[in-house]
Amino acid sequence: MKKIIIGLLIFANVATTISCKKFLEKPPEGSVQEADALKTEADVQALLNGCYLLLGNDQMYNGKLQTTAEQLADHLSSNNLGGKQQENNLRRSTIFNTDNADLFTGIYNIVYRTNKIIEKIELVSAANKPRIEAEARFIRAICHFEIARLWSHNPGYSVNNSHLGITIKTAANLLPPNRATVKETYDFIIAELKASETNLPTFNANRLYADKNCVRAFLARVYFQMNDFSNAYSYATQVINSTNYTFNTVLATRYTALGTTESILKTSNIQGQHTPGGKLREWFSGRGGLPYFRINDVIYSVFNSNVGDGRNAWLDKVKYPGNTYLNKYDSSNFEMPIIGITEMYLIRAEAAGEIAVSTPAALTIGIADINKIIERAYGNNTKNLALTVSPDMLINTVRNQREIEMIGEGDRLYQIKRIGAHPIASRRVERLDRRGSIWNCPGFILQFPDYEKNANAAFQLNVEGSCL
Amino acid sequence: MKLRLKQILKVCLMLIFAGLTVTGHAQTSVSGVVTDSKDGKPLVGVTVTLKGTKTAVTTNATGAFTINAPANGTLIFSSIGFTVIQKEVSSKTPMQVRMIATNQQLDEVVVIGYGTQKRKEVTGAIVKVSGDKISTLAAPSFEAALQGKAAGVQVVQGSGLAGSGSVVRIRGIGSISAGGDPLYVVDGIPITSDQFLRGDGGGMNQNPLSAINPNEIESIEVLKDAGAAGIYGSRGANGVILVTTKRGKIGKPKFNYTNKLGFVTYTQKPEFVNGTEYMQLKQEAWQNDGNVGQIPSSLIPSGLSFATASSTNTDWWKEVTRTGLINEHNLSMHYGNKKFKSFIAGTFGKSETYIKRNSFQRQSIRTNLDYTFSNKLKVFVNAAYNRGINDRISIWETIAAVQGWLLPIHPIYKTDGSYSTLSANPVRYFNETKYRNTDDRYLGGIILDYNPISNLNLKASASMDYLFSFEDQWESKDFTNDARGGIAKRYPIWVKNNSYNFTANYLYKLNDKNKFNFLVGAETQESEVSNTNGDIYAWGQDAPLYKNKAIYKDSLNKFLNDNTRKKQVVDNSTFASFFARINFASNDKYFLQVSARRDGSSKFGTNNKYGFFPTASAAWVLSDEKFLKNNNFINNLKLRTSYGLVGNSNIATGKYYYGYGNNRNYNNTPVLDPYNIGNPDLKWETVRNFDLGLDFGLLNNKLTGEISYYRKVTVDQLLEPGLGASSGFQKSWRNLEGGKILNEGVELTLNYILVKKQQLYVSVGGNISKNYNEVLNLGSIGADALQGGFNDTRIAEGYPVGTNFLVRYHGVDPTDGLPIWLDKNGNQTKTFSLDHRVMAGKVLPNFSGAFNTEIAYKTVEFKTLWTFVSGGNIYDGSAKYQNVGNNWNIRRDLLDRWTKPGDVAKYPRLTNSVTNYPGLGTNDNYNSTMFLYDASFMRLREISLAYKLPKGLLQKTPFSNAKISLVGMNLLTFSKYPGADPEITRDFQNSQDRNMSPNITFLTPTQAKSFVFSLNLNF
Repeated sequence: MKKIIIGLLIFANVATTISCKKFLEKPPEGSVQEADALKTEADVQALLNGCYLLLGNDQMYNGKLQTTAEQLADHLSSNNLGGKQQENNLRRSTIFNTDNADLFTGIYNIVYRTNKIIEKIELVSAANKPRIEAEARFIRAICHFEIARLWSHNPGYSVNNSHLGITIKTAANLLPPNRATVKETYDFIIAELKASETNLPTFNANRLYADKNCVRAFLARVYFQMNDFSNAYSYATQVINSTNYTFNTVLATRYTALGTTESILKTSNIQGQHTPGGKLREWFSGRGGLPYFRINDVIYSVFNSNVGDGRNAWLDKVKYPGNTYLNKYDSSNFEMPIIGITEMYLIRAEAAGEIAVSTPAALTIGIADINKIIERAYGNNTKNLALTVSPDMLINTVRNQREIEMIGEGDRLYQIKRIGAHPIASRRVERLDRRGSIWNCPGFILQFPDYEKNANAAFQLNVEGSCL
Repeated sequence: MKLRLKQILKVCLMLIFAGLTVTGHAQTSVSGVVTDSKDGKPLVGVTVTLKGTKTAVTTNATGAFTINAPANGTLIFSSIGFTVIQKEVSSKTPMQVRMIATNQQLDEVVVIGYGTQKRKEVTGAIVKVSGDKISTLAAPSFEAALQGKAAGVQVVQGSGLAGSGSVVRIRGIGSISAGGDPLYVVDGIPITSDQFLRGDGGGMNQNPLSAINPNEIESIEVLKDAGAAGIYGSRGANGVILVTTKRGKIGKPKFNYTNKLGFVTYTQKPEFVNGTEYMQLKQEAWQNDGNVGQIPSSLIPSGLSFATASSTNTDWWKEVTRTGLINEHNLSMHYGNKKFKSFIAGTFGKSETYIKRNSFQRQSIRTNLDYTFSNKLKVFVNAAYNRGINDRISIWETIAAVQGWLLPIHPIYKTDGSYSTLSANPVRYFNETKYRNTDDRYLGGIILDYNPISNLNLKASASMDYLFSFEDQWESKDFTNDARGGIAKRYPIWVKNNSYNFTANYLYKLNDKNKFNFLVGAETQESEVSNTNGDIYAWGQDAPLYKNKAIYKDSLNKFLNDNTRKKQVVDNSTFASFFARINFASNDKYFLQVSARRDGSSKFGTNNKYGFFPTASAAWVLSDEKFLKNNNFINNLKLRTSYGLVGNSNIATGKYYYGYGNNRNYNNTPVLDPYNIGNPDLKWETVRNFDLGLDFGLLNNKLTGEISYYRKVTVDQLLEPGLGASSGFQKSWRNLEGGKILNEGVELTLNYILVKKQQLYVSVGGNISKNYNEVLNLGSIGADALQGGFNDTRIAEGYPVGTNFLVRYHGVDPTDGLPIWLDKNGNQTKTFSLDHRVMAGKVLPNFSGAFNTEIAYKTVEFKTLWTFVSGGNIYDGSAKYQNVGNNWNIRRDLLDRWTKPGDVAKYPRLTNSVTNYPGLGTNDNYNSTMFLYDASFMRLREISLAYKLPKGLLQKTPFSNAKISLVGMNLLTFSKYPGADPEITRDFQNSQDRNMSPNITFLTPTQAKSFVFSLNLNF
């Protein structure tokens, strides 16, 4: 007995005193550790695949970006908005708006992934390295651009764009945030886009991954936002001239399960795997009942005043009496166009009007571009612009068409700010906003989430409110 | 009948233990009576041993004993607190033995980490609370009963919900994201006490401690400083609560039966306006907003018409509350001889709360066995099973809803008699749903205690703490309104916690005056929490799954087989530790202790796998010095001090890993998702803990007490949030570089015996603690960095943990009724802005404590315990929604409002949207000092009247003692807080929220008060 007891004690001693490294390493179940997760080219590619999934399915273009911009703009009915959406709609967003914080973090999470890809690029074969890195840099650039559009004032807000932009993240780390100027931010975006263009394929037939045309389309969008019309015109033209993207001549929603041939970049829709655009359906769709987001009477009147415009059918005032809703997103699932050819025509048309003085030939091209859109809307050419209209007339027509054509797509806010910042006084409209705010009022940009300030007490927040 | 029961039980137990009983050898029977030399009272439980033999008996309730002894034998009389006496067997019987009390204050045995000490030898700060002070109170869990009983231990009792957990803070709070709760150790087992196993489902954090049966507790020792808690290393920083359960005693089988019967109701009912008033206020707001005519239906909650709403007046409070009943039965038995001792106890009870359908049932059994194989070897076996059945309610459907969005204008039923579904409907919820947590907890351990040579003791123990927890929810077909019928859901959680330790203790006597006690030990612990990744459900059910376990098993198997669900380990933490302690005693008045522990844990990063925690402490018994000896004034005076490093590692395991998920696809190609930024440097947080204390007994020990000063500086705080969102993540675990939080305080405990006579005993006592808490340094963390989850509390430099960071409300502009705020500089403004926020309040009190009285006359005892909190603030996070614009109930005290120009009012004019107050974009941000209140309160925590039946009455009964008592809890409360009860522990989101947000209420169920009749029988 004594021996047994002593044996037990010795065993207990040994069992408890041995240094057992494995015993002290308990990784969370179901989690793959970085050393195991990122060790091959396929792993890096999988990380990149995740970026695309986030772009249209989890974050950003799934509707979070668009619906946030719509809250700030002037098309929604304010009556039934509450909480964080009401706060945005009143243009008084604060550090505690968790919707905005989730969007902000979500987009930067994509940036983190792209930075991780670039850090691990050595794992990729020489053949694929340039492409994968270029895709990562393209995605990183467009993420920065979308954050900059929402969280900082438009280029043109200050002389030399020295006003504060956003934190530029080029490494996957926890370094405290530090705002660059808007000039630095846009310079970075353009440089990254241009750098990525070189090593991307000219055209991806499935339009699901970045190619040269995607880069050019975004460069057109970025330059246009900066009121840099020559570059916007040039890049939009390159995309249109590529002939890879078919402009739909018959009016139809761009948001269908089968997708649209207009897409330059899109997120695929595979039932059981991912059905992008969820946020758009959640807040705009009226399939299952009166949606949360409704359209206000002012813009409804604008639509209705255009007799014969097929797009009037997008605003449904019948299904839910007393309420108007946008039925663009009524499909139960759809492919998510991230950028498309209609926008390229709209950009080129307006930019054409802007550069007509220096490039007279552009005017005709611009008029033809906008007429494509008008003709599609009306089903005939009766409302087409004459080829003799002035540049200003073209510009005004395009601005009006753009508002209608892209309703609910989150575009309106950016046009209010861009046109307000227009460098030419005669073409500048400082209060394009139908609710009366001036384009550069503080509340037109979102407040940063408190987390951003938390990590750096010196971080400069945006000024809030004072729009309405 | 009772006599038969007793006999049957005795026979059964004797049969069970017959093989283990040692029978004495018959000799001459010697009897006698042992009394206290001071007051002549009989002494119970004195061990009477025949010298040189193993023959021993104990004195009974009258102090009497009978022992077989030879005529020339010597008897040894020993009892804790008394000097050992040897007496030769006297021819005079009965023998009269008068025992002289030693200094009880110094001779009390105190449980310490991995051992026991006499109070005199203790160098750390330890408070001992006996079990009888814990079990009398109808508290939701045993830790709540500690309130007011130990200086420096602040206990904020959980809400009025069954089984709710309390926030226990020992000498303040120095943690940010890591748990700030003490380590709970039951009979040497560090047990699972995680309040977030089920998050905050239903508006309550499930409290695993409620499964500990308070009736089984012999004592609780609270280890407060490094000298006491340092031996627990990386888990000692928040203090340690050692729970020791009852054990067998030498003597014949003795039974104890207690029945408690009682009533429970709420301490205070929050008052809200009725339906008619509510509609009048809506109309008033409509007009305040510049409108005329009657408010349109679109602005009336749930689309009700003005007429319907105005004519409905449902008393929802009445619909959700009741007078709850308490009924509990405890039966215990202890028995023992020199070889074998046993304690067996069982409990069956049900405690309803004042909320309908909410109750806690306890079914438990404990067996603690001690067997002495020889002088060298003993075995201790503990086994306890406790089933806690918590019949729960979701507060959001019931008690919270009636204070929030469920309005008096909402009817219970539609006109056709079916349930109204315009808002929450508690009546429908009570009848059409079930919600139950069933926690089966097994606590067990075996300890081998071996003394191979003189003065060397080896102990090896293996312990388990298993918790099998099932949450059942059921909704009827009417409730789901689904063609598939009713749904029954079950959420299982399994917690397995195994620990093994080994200690070697060697007592080395250098000479007669100096001795060492060496302790070395090793310990491992592994705790695993598992669940299914979602509920196990079955449609078409008309009852919960606990009533149909076959369906649960079928569903579980089906879900596991088709991969709908999987069993997963959600946390698996391990510790491997080595520790050592050296105690040195000189002249029985100088005591020195050094200890060290090295902890390795799965919670620590690869670059910081092991932490080292050294401590040193000392005590000096001044009263044993010549210059104080024989002093009539000072009987006991002990100075003690300690300094050491203790740690806190109360976080989940493996947080230092980079984490990736690979279970998604994009366009039929694999996706890799990073979800956690790793940190191989992650480690424990460290507390530099200094303590200086003086224990004293004065005036013939009539006045006893303790005064302590402590200073704790916490560094390397474990921090989860505060990341820049531009990192792509909002949270990641790390140690706060440069972080420093101070807790500094003074504690005073006093007890004074006013009268101590044979038939009358009167004493008063109390304790008071002052804790100064300040965040000294937060590195580069910004003002909004460290929020308390749901709540508007912050951690900011220069302020205490849990500061209310609010816009200051100045008052109402009498001209237009709009609120006036103060900006940061104190200038008045009518535009609200978060930029105006300042540190305006704090959740921590200035002082907390208690005082008690005890009067015993003959067989009647009357005791009171008053607890108090002075200073600090309550923030009512729900008040900001309790306005007509948000369509919530309106608290009656908020009616002191502006109604017309010239009004001087406390609150601004009513509005149908707070966005009509300039600067406010949403109700969510409407946080200001308007709803910040003084948290000071005093309450009659406990009042009891007990009557011990005279022996004469019991002579013809099988009972040796019988006692009846009445105990009231929380019967009186004095507070300036205009809401419900001022003692607030709401449901928390996470540990950080829990650290920062006691005293923040959000529709929190008010505390309960109870009145319990208790019958206690010994036989």
